[in-house]
Amino acid sequence: MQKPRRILIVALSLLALTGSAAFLINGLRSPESEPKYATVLPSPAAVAEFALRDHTGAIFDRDSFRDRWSLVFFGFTHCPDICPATLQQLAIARSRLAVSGKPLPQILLISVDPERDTPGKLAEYVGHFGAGVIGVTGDLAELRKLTSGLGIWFGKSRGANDDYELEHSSAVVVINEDAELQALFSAPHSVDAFVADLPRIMSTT
Amino acid sequence: MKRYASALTLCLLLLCACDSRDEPPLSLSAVRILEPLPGGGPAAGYLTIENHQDRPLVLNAVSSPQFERVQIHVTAIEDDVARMQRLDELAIDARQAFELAPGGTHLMLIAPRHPLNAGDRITLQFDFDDHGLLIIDTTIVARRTVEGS
Repeated sequence: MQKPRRILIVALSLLALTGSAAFLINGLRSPESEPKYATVLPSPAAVAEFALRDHTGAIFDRDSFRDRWSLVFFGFTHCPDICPATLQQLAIARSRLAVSGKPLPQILLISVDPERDTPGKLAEYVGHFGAGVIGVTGDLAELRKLTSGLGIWFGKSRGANDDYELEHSSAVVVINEDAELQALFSAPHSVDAFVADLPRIMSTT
Repeated sequence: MKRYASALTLCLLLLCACDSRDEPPLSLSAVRILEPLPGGGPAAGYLTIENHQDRPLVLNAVSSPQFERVQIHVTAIEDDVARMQRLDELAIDARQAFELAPGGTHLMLIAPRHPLNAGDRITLQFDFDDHGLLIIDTTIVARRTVEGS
């Protein structure tokens, strides 16, 4: 066999092998492996710099997101309904994911009510939801640095008797190990949606 | 004659003899008062109110001797923003049932007068239009955070 023809045959064989491999890989990444409930960003977006405190009083900033996945919910302790319900769902989902043996995400309640939610109050509150739940609070301006970059909104409305209500985004934000916004879950939330999608989301990096 | 009933199971109210029909005008069921979370936050209350009348039933207010005040709120999620709005009253259409449930309309029991935990008994007073005060006793239930616990 002439040398150029042998080279051509080898090149065509390699091309065929490469094409087959690519086809196989794409087949493995079938629609069934894509998240069904969460909205995943086409490109993760870096979380902005900010400085808050966690429920132990320690600094909580952008670096606090590194090296672990984070499930973040923005709420407040005086919310009797959707906030504890969402944290409860996240805690249950986390316990179900524990059977996989893989590193678990941390769950964060970031308070949109720093006026009432001191680190001490958050420590009492998040303890109810079990290990892996962290409360975060702090200066309002610092909080807005974080929320604006994540597309999270919150606001206060005054009521009678010096009561006030807080409106806030109900999304659960997923931040990856590089402190980047990776995905978000929109309400209404469910344990099954978290359990189904989180392994898929966390396997993409 | 008013009768006190325990919640957590179906609680059927027989009201004053001013209503001569056999069927009571309303009933409460599936009453669940979730324990207040640590830190002094409010407790949440859920139940189903059935209106057995041929006219609307209006719940004006709820109170409890164990809490400074009880309010009726509705959680609404619009464009991924959760808003909690206080209701001055709750109207239930004729021959309809209304469910106060998580993520929707609920009772907000504010400022417990003393520490309250799952298993503690409390009293709730429902002020309905035309029917006076309906009083029930119920047991606070735990919020489960981990399956199987």
